[in-house]
Amino acid sequence: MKTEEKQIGLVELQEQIKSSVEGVYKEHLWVCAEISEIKNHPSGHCYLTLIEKDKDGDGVSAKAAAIIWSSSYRVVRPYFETTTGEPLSVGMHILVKVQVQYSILYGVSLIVYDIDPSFTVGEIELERQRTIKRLQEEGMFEMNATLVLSLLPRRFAVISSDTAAGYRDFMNHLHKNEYDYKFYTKLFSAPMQGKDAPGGIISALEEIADQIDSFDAVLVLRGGGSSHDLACFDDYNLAVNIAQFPIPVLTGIGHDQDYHIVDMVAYANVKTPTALADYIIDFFVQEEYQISSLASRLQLALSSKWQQELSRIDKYKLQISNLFLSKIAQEKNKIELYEYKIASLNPVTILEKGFVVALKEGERLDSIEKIVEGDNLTFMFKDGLVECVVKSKTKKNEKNFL
Amino acid sequence: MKKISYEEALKQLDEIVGQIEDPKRNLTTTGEDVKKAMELIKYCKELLRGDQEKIEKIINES
Repeated sequence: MKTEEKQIGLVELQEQIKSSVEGVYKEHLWVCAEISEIKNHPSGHCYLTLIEKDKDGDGVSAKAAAIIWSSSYRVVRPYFETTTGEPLSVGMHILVKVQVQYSILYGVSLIVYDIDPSFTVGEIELERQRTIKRLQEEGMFEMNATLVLSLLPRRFAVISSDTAAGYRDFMNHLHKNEYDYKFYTKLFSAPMQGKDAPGGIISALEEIADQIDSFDAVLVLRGGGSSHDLACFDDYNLAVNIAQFPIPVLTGIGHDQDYHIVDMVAYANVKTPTALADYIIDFFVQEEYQISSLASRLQLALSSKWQQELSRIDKYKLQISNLFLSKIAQEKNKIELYEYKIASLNPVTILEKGFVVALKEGERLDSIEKIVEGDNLTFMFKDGLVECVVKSKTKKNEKNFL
Repeated sequence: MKKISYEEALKQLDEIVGQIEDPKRNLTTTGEDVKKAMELIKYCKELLRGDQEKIEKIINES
């Protein structure tokens, strides 16, 4: 009979359980679990539901309520957020130092005194590495980087938050550049931190995709400041959207830590929005340098051709001058030869040499043909004239003359 | 001058300068090329500077 068996009240039972449970778990324990719910109460306490999933990650194998009293939360929370770069959030794996407490009204709850952020950092990093591996296997890493960026990119769709300091710095830096290059930018506002950021940025990308021909590239900008909530830039879906975007996506997400996955799949990335403005301006500076270098090459080529022509003219000048001098020398030789000939044919020269010139009636004779006996001939000597009468004449060979 | 892309203008300029640099070509036969090269340099510089009006025109055209 059930009524004959020992009966106890619920309070007594719960008291017994409380006593047993708290008797076993006197010491603090370190427990690792996943956050499935989190509520920050206005009083400053934080109420959590911790779970452990089964091996497949589908079903929940264990579940417990946990409380971080405001006195602990005030200390634990900032340290956790500074170290991990993220606030406590659903889905996060945490390692907590707890005291098991049993309430006869609410059952078991874990009172959290401390959280080890390095455990969560390790978990986040593991998740990050899994995402990187997955993107690599899917060929997403090179996809955007292999697109062709215009040599003079000047029309930009900017995804940022219009209130962010980084955005204003970027706009000032780009539009007021010292070289006076002109750019066109259009802002597509999106939250740039926290859990809403990936979805917001993806929506902005979709909006840009509808007017894709108006832009040379997309710029994703986020100002500096703390590294809180930057895990959104390790988001798989956002990375896939950026990787597959049809025009280059450049990132300037202000942070000094390791690159985020979004940076890895982007066409190019720099540390800050200002650095991104410099990166863009540098395209133009480089091109201007190239144009100047081509202009210098042109000038040099022309100047060298000019020199070439001048030296060719100089060469001709020298050739002409040499030719001229040689002609003069030739003419001079000719004249000297004539002079010599003339000198040697001059009758006076002949007379000087002891020859005699015969004249008949003033005409020089070079033969005896015109001479007849009895002719009066004049003989010219170097020192005077002699008049003679011809007694006889003998032809050459007639009497072996000479 | 016919409106061509910056990339195309730069390519043409590079080719023309290369031809002018050829030592086999003399000064008198480069006249037209030099004129074309100067035009291309001016054009490329204009594109580099690009005033706001032109940029807006580009956007409206696209």
